[in-house]
Amino acid sequence: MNTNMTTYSDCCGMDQAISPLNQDHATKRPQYYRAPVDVHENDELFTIVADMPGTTADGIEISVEDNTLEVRGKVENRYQDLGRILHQEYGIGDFHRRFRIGDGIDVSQITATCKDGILTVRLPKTASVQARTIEVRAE
Amino acid sequence: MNTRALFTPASNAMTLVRNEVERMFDNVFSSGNSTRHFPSLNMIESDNTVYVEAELPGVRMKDLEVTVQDGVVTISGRRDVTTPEEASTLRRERGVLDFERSISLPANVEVDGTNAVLRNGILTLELPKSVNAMARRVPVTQG
Repeated sequence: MNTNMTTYSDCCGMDQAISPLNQDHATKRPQYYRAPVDVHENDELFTIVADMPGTTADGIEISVEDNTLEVRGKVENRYQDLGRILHQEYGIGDFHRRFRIGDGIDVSQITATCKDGILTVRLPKTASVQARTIEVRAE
Repeated sequence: MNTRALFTPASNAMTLVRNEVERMFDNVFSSGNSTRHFPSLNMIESDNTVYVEAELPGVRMKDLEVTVQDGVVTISGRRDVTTPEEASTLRRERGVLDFERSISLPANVEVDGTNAVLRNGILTLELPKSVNAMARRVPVTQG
C-alpha cells in the first residue's frame, strides 16, 4: 500500500483520484531530481504545478499508462560548455515524477503548459464525475 | 563559514582558490530569521566571464532584485504560491519563497559590466573578468 494514499486520506477523508508516487522502481542509481509539486482540485479538473527550473516545453515528456502519470523533464548540462565550476551548491539533472491517477480522470483531455521553469498539467475529470448542479423547479 | 579553511595549510594553489571561493560564499549579511541560505548558488568561470547561477522557478522579474555594491552582489525577491480560484489544494510541496542572499564577488571581475538574465526559472549573473585578470601572453625578447 502506497503510503502516500494515507497522507491524502488524512487530508480529505476519501480516496483521492490523484496521488504522487514517492517510490520509484528500484534503479541502480537514481539520477533524477524530484520536482516539488502542488496539486489542486476543483469541480472540473485536477491541476499539477511542478517546479522544474531549466526545462522547456520541448524537453518535457508526459505519459500515462495503467493509471500512472509520468512526467520527465530534460535538463541539459549547461555547465559543460561554459567553463570550470568554481562553486556548486546544487546539482542539475533531469526531473522525474510519477503520479497514480484514478479512473475519474479523462486521460485523453490532459494538457500541459510550461513557462519560466514551471510545468502546469491539467487533468480534466470525466463528465460523469464532475459535480453537477441540479436544477430545482417549483411544481 | 567553512571551518576547514582555518586548518588547511595554504600551500597548494587549488586549496587557495577553493578557500577564496568559499569565503566569498560566507553570507555578508544574514537575512532575517532564516538560517537556510536561499537561493543555492553555483559559480562557473570561463576564460573571460564569471557566472553566478540560482534556480528561482516562478519568481517574476518584478519580484526579483539584483544589486551590486562594494564588491558584493545581493539577490533578493519573493514568489508566492497560489491556489487557483474555486479550487482546493490537495498537496503543497512548493513553498512561498522570500529570500535575500549576498555574496562577495571575486576580485577580478568588472562590476560595471554585470549582466543578469532570468530564463526558464534560472537566474544567471554574468560578470566579465577585468581585462588585466585575463591571461595574457608576455612576449619574451632577447636581451
